[in-house]
Amino acid sequence: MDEKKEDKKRFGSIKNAIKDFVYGMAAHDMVTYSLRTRMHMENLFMLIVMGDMLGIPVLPPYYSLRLLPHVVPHVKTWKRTLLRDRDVTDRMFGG
Amino acid sequence: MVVNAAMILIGGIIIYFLIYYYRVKKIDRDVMKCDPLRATPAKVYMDGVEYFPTNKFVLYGFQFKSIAGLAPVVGAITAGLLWGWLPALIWILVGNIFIGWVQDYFSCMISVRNEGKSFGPLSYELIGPRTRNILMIFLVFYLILIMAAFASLAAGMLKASTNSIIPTATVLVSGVVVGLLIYKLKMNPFVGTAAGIVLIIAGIFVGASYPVAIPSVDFWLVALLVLCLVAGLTPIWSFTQPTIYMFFYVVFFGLIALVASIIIGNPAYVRPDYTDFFAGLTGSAAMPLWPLLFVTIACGSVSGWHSLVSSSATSKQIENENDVAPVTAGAMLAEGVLALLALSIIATLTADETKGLSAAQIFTKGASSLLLGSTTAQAYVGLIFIALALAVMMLVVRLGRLTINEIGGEKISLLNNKYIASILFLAVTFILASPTLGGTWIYIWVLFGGSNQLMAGLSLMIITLWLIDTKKGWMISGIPGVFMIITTIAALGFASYQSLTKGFSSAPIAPGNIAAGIIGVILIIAALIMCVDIYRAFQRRRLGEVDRAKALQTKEFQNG
Repeated sequence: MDEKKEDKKRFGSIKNAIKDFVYGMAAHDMVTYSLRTRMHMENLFMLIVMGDMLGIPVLPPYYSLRLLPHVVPHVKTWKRTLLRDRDVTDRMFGG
Repeated sequence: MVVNAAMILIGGIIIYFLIYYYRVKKIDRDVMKCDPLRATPAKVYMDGVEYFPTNKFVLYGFQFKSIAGLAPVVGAITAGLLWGWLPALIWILVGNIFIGWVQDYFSCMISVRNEGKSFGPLSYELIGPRTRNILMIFLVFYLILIMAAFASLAAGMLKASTNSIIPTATVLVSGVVVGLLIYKLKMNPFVGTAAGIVLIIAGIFVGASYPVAIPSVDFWLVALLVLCLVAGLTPIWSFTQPTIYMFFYVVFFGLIALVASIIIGNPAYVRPDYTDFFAGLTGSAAMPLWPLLFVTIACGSVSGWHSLVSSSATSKQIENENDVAPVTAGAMLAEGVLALLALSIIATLTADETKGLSAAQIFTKGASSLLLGSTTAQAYVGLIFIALALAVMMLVVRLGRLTINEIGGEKISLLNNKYIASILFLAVTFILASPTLGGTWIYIWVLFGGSNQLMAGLSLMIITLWLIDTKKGWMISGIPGVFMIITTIAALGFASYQSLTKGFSSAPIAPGNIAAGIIGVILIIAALIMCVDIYRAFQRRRLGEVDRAKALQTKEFQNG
């Protein structure tokens, strides 16, 4: 019984590995590109409403304060993404 | 002794497996002291997008797809055609075992240990600012030459394989349809993909029955370049990405069928194992095995492009250091198997059968005969070849534009315009690739391989300097790096001399060959400047002016 379970588990992990491999070849870059597009849009939005956090003289509107609680968890990542020095060899892969 | 295709393919797989388990793992464990608990950039800087820990199987698929394209196929066929299958086989095995995986693995590992930095910043830091600019020069010419070489091959295939034209058009249409279904109509991706695949299958059967004959390479060249211009200027999700996604299915099922037919059919190698040290193709001068074999086959053995993929995209997604070896070295060794498959296609055809045929035509003839030789098989095999070329070309036009922006955009603001940069890029491609303008394909191929191998040489030297800085054994990359740089400069010298003399001696003067020759000369000058910079970087370390070891160790410690 245990052997059967073991075989089933092994077969399942091989199946998952093949599935992941095919996904990696077929769609991984498509998915990451979509995520990057979303990231750029969100960064732009945050730059417009919270630009003063990066030292850009954008006057914080009333809505910045309303949005602040939603933005706080992303501020660290957002600052790092925008301020990071990007070489063309980074941007080649959609960065 | 009769040599069979299955014997070579299975033998190659066994050798690569042994190398992986006894060499790659040993280096991973003893030299790099790979530690699964050490934090990777994907974890430290995780943003869910660029830096994102990814499953190793997904990443393996991504890495393999990013490095394996048409180049290992055409390189192996061309080398087999010129010098016989044995030198090509030896270089595919030896190059991969001693250089190929070393470059891919260390490029990724060094980036992982240096906060996910790609090779641009690493060349700047480890050698100097000028070397980073030289990398840009290699890159822009690499992109122009890959575009010219692939456009020329694909145009030749569209002219010769009349049954593959409707299937190609069908894939392009299915790409747009699938993109709309998935992105705009929010359809389930499985259903959308299935609809696209059905459309392609129908296209293959229709194409097999209704050939379209337009016997002008220039016509197809212009058509392909216009297609690439559209792909480069439209939003990537609307055309380029979904079309490449559909090309993947065409190629994936085709390669599985080819591997199965080689193992089951087991055709014998009937081609001469070795022809001559100086071999030539129609319209080209005698080509010496050294240095040209080592640039003719690039991707199946060693390729500079891989170091960019490994250090720019893959390193930012590595979940833990244990994954680096299977993902990078594993994918490189698998690409070697792809090159062996391509080599088997030419080696199973006699010299008479391939007389006067181009690499593209040889691929169609050999691969379709492996798939039972029907008209449908011919249409499908032609489509696989065009898909491999177009998938790269559609992306390269974007990358070319980006690199032109980077190099000239600051000084000439016009080059920042996406239309002007794209058209300029494609115009140079047309001059090189058009047979009417006198471009000789084999020299362009050698120059493309040369620019690629110069990037490989540079990345191997960057790896060497990093290994010296971290007090690790550097011979593993230093010796291959020196070999690659010397060999490549010699190959570029040959190709540019031949291109220039042929370009000026013909009547009327051939601008295609002259442009190729000038590009070759620029690459040689850039390579020599790079050699001076690398030598100075070594000297600085020898004289103790640079002691990065302490700083790097501290950084590694902090990361750990």
